Amino acid sequence: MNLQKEYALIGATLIDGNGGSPVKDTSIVVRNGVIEEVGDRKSVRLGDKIQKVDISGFYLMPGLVDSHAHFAGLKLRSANPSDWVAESESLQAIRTVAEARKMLDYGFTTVRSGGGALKFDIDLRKAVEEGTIIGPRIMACGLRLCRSGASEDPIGTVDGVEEIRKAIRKLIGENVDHIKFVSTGADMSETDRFEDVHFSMEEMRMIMDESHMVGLKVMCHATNIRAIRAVVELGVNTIEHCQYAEGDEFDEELCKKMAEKNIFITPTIAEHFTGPAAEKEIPKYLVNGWKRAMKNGVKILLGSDVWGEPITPYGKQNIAEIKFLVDILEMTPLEAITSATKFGAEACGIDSKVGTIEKGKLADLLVVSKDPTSNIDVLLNRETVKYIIKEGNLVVEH
Amino acid sequence: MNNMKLEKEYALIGATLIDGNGDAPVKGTTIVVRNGVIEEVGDRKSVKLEDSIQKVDISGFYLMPGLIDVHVHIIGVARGPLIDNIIEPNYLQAIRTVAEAGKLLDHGFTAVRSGGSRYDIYLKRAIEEGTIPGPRILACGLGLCRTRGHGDSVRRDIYEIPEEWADQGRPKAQTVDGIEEIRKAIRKLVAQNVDHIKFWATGGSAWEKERCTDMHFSMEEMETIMDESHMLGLKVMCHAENLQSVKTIVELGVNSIEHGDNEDGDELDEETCKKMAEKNIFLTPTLSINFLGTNADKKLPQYLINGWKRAIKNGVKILLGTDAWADPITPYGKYNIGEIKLLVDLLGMTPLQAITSATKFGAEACSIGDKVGTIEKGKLADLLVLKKDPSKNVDILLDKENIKYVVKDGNLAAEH
Repeated sequence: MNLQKEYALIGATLIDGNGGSPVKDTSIVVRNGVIEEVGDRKSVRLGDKIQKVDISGFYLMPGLVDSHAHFAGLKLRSANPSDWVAESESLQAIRTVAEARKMLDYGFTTVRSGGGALKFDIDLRKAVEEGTIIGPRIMACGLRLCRSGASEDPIGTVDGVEEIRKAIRKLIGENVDHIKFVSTGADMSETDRFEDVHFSMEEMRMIMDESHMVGLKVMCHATNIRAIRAVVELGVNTIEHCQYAEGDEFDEELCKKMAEKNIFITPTIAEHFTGPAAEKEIPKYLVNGWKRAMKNGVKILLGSDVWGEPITPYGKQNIAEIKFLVDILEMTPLEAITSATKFGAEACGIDSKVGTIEKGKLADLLVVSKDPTSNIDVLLNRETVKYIIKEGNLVVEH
Repeated sequence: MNNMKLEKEYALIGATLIDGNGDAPVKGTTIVVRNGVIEEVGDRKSVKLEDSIQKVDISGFYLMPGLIDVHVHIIGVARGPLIDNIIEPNYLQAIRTVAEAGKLLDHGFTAVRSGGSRYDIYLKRAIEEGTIPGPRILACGLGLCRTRGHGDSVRRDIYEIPEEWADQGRPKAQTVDGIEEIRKAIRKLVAQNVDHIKFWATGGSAWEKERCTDMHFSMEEMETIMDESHMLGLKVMCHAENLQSVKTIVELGVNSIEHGDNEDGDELDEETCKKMAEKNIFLTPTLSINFLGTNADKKLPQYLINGWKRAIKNGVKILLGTDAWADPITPYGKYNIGEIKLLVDLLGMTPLQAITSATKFGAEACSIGDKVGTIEKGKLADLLVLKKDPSKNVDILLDKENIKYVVKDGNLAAEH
């Protein structure tokens, strides 16, 4: 199919991302990448000249947002870091193109990077924006800040408030969209434990201050309750993984505070089932905590934490997360879609532009052949996603 | 978007075959491909097909070998000037090479030989491991030029760049001076699993003191390049833009001469041509670079054309090579295929001769003539299925929409 600069998508059942019931028989008008009208197919008036695309029988929803992905360009033989630290960086940079492409192919029109030891996301974002390669809209953070001795030491480590200040200012100079830091261990080795807090209070405060000073949101890896409490107190913007030990109190009060401060949680559920420490099931106390957060109004994000083929297959693992939101957190399909679209856009600070299908927003759209609100699983098969539209342009057709 | 699916075993039935050897096209053929290899080529009536094999009727179409560009720089740069290339992020350039590879394949190039690239060995690996689509890449890594030679030609009276920036950022070349540096550089390249060695024997006229007319290496340095490369069976590809350099490297036994242009009064002579033919030294005239930008309507000087034609007449094999190096200036794919028309229009080749240059000879120059380059039993299935007859009018290849299918290693790589 070819889409012109101005077109109308006519007849679909609309799932606009706001969480309301799907609306049948709609029309939307897209002009130069922007949604100009959304309404009942009978009420939306179309000029003679505009391209009319009949998508009756299809479902129209916003493009998906993965709030936690790594463009790493790995092709792992094992989960052993020695597999990738010595590998050519150019080779890895080249492979990230395939990662971007796969995520787009599964309907992700926006991806927020969780950063890495190398700053592929910044360069990939540029290549996508200049039109050289096809990929999702990339929200880049470049280096993720971690302390010496953390998972990917020695690359990109910072220790002390002054190193942090400088590191963040350098990242701003690279035009990053947010700042990512690692407040706890990542269980990559014996000395890199989930249960340890990795930065002092002053260091973390510096991260928040320097980032917020220029309007950048802070995305924080946190895998124990002390770190979670600390970063909530300090006003972090999103908490990644949000894990803690059994018996730790992820209590109502903490959840209320998070909701009040509009702090998002990205539980990265799929990641529990992949990688070196794959689990059979998610501990009940974690699920209960995340549900408690939801009940208290904390917004949950879809984040897959994809970090390396073939352990975390790009595209497939990203979309698998939406099913976990339904199956494990017991969201309704509509709620999961809102997490994966509207909330994702909010967490990226781009909700004025994308995340829902509304007048004035950019046309990031999926045309789906089966109803994802009756069964979210239909999204797992990319063949169900007939068209993927990014900024009004058809980027994938199945 | 690919609508057709090719199975592991299939027959392409009914096409007019242009096999790359230069013979007249043969109508009504069938070829059988199994696991990427051409198992049979013959008349559609004589080739027996079992029931289980996939049968693809391509009657009315033309079947020819995939094209080979023997001189490309896959370097992902956004602009022309070397200073810009040096300061741009390496990862960004690496990422862009994926798009360059995709465009080359889309225009029918199933193999390309690198003329120097910081990224070619990695791109090759990513393609071979199946991570990204692209042509077969013959890599050489960073080519060898002398300090401040053609691959290092930033004017230092204008720009002051630290040496380490240049070392980490030059997209095509590394600098070597003296036989010991050359020896070491080649041995390091060998460990990067390069397919051939590229060097610049002369300047390239990037500015007034970096001239085509100057030799850039001493005799001993060039001897070392040949010896170290040939010692391991690697061919040597050499940028040479004056007659003296051509004569010298012919003497030293280079494998292919790139550009091979020269000055008025210094035409490529009969004796040199004969020697080249005798030693099986290929010539890549890279005609397209003469017509870039404001030179689009330029007329090539007759002495150049005379020299190249003399080479053809004396049996020197001419290659299709374009020197593509920056997408905004040399749009990958489109620019590369333009060269085949120039081989016909300027060098007076027939379309069939130009196709042989662009397929069989290219494969020979890359030392992969036993695997690809022609459509013959036992070779890998690198194929183009064309809607129109390129042996009548080679121009039809310039529009990629005329290429119905691009097949690489037996797999459908592009469909139009």
